[in-house]
Amino acid sequence: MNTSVFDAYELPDGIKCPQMLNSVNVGEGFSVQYPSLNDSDKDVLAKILVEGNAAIKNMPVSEIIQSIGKVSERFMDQDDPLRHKALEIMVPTAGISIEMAETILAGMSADWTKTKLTELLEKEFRIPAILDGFQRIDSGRSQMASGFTFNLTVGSGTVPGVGVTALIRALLLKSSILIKPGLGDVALPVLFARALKEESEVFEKCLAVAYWDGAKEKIGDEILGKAGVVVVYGSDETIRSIRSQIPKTIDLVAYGQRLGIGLVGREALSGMKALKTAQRVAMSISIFDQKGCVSPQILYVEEDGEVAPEDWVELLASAMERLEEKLPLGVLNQQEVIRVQQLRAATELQEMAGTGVSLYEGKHKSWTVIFDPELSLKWSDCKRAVYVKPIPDLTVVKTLLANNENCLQTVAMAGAFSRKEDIANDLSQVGVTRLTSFRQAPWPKPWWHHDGRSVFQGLFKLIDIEDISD
Amino acid sequence: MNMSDFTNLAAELIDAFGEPITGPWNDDVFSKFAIKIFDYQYRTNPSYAQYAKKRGVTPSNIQDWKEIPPVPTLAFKGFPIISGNLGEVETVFTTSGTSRSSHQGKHHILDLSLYRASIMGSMKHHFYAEQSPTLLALVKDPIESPFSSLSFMLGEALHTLSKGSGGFYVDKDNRIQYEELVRHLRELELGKGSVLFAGTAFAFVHWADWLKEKGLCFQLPKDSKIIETGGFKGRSRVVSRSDLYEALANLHGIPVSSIVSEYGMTEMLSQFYEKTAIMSETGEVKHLGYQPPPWLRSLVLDVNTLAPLPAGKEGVLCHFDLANLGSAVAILTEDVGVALRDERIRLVGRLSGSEERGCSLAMDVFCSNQR
Repeated sequence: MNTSVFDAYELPDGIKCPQMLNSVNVGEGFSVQYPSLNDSDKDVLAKILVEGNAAIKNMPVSEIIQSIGKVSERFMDQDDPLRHKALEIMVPTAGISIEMAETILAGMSADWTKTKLTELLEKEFRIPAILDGFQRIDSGRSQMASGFTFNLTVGSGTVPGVGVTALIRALLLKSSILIKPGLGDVALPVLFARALKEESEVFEKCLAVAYWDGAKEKIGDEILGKAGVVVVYGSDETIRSIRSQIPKTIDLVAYGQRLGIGLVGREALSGMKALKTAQRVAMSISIFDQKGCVSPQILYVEEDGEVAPEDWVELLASAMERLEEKLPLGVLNQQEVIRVQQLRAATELQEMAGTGVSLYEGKHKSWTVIFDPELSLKWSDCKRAVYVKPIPDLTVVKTLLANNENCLQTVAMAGAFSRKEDIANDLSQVGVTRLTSFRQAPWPKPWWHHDGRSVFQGLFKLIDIEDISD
Repeated sequence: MNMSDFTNLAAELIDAFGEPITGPWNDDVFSKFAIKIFDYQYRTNPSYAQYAKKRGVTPSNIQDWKEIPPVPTLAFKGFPIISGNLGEVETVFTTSGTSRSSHQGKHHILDLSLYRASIMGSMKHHFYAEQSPTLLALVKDPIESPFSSLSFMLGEALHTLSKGSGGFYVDKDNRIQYEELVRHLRELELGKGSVLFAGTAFAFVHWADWLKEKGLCFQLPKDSKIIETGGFKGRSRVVSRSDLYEALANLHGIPVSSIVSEYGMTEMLSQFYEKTAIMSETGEVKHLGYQPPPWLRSLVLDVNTLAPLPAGKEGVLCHFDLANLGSAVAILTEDVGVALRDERIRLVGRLSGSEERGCSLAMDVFCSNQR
């Protein structure tokens, strides 16, 4: 059988083509190839990125946006070979279906356009030209925003596209960036970087993408010694490991694992609305095959609506099944199949123990819905698996979610919109930083305060010139 | 429910576990015990009975131990898996829990004497057949860690088989007692009696790092052994098994072939042990496969269909542990392996694992922060 190979790196001119390449199989007949960078390679790479920063620092931010916008348009153009290549590589590397790859690419690239990025900078900086030089911002001072010379970003690989978003943020701040994407997100950062370099030679020496196995290989002092900021997306273990590698003087911006919660108010459970709610919730769960930090893992459903939670769960199960036809699950790997077997058999035993638990499952291990009257926070690490828990009133959610501040973030909601602010007030006290609808949950706006942080927080410095009168 | 059924069956099993180990039991002997246990568990655990019935297996139609429907390890995180009376539970062993799990796994133990008999039978055979080594344990004392099945196991071995000679060298806050351990090892270096040094893989990684940093090494007495209890992934740093074994052998003055790997899990009361050999011609280090005691057998199942696979094929491991009389005799794990000869298995990958038995995640966090 022929094996397709994807080179999961894009290194700047000036670094020799790596002599040693490693490879990892990501699916039948598909492997990812990546460089084995020795200490000297890493040293040269970091030096190129630091020296190459001068060119992007001199480029007006409007031109940076222009170049990025052109690449994002190519990802949206149905006829562009770049888009075809991206989809082709996303499927095996992220373990998703082609339908899901198309959905994700459309959703992600819509936020990388010239318009969206201009809007983003206007929201975050009021005067985006602050990134080009000192601007009068109020009486008494002028100000400039300056990204770190060298940004090192370690991606997680759970959601394709997150790496590109991180890469764009660094470039908007005129930082050089080395991004090590997670294996599930190698396609887009590499292809994006290649395309961006075609747009302007400025990006030749300030942009590098290289995958390596973070569990086996450390980042290395040659790179860390020159980084101004390290950004990490990943599990608690990954963050802990990277934190232990970096000197204390370097800023670390970490985005850890989060648990998505869904709330279904009784207003969303009346007549036809109950069905519509189930469809929207099913979509919210299924996007990214539920691997996003924004994906709902546990649903709390209010009692005393027209449709009872234990009946609504059946509508949800049907919606999950129908969605599987439209937006199929990708190919599960061995560990994922084992986890589904475990989840289903364990739930079946619980069902038989008279605990009130009911199991609903899709064909071919594609989705699992578990109705569980026991209200404590319980989730599964399987794809498209959700716990549905009946509650007397949404006001009890605050108590149920308490003491989990470090793992909460997005809460998606249906119905109860008149109670939205009260609920948000309650949830803000237990660590929730985003309350949204199920429809919007998978697609946070570009200005989203990820884990409560502003978009560029920790990635740049503000420089003030105070008015001097004498 | 008749508690005397449990007592009688437990007594029979304890007698059998106490027999000297000469190799795997005849298939009929194992099957007879396993079916008796299935019959008992079917009668005393109503939810398991329904679960088995749904799969078409009942005491009246079961022919072979391989037909016993396995309970997944995840079920131990949901609710008590007990074949018997909840009020009779003697102790509960727990998994330390990882970021992958939202709930802690619990193994309710109706009668610790079965666990004791299983530990004694296996450890006598592997480590105490010709000698009575001093046992140094790189885990917490069972008094500090009463819910750790690994601490319990090493506590029993220390008090009964090593006759109290040895000690535990991880404190209640998960700190390795480096200096005390060095002092004890130095004393033992001067004596003639052998040493059995047991701990989780990751505790050994931290211990080896510390010894290297301090420039220390030991020359342990002849016939000393190290028992390493699995779990290399998902820690502050990943160390290959061969690198760890080489480092441990060099630092303690023993051959790599004196390092034995243990494979167990909180949900089971019996353990596998794997010997290491050095090929005389090539010097290559070879792991000989995990050997169960005669009262523990495994099937390798197709990951998708859960149908048994022939020897040599890789699949998910399902263990049949006769010591699990009070919980579930058949356990479907998340571990991947291959069946070898003589009931041995080769582990290919572990999702669940012995690291949870020893709380080494917590210890790893602590040690990483200290360094």
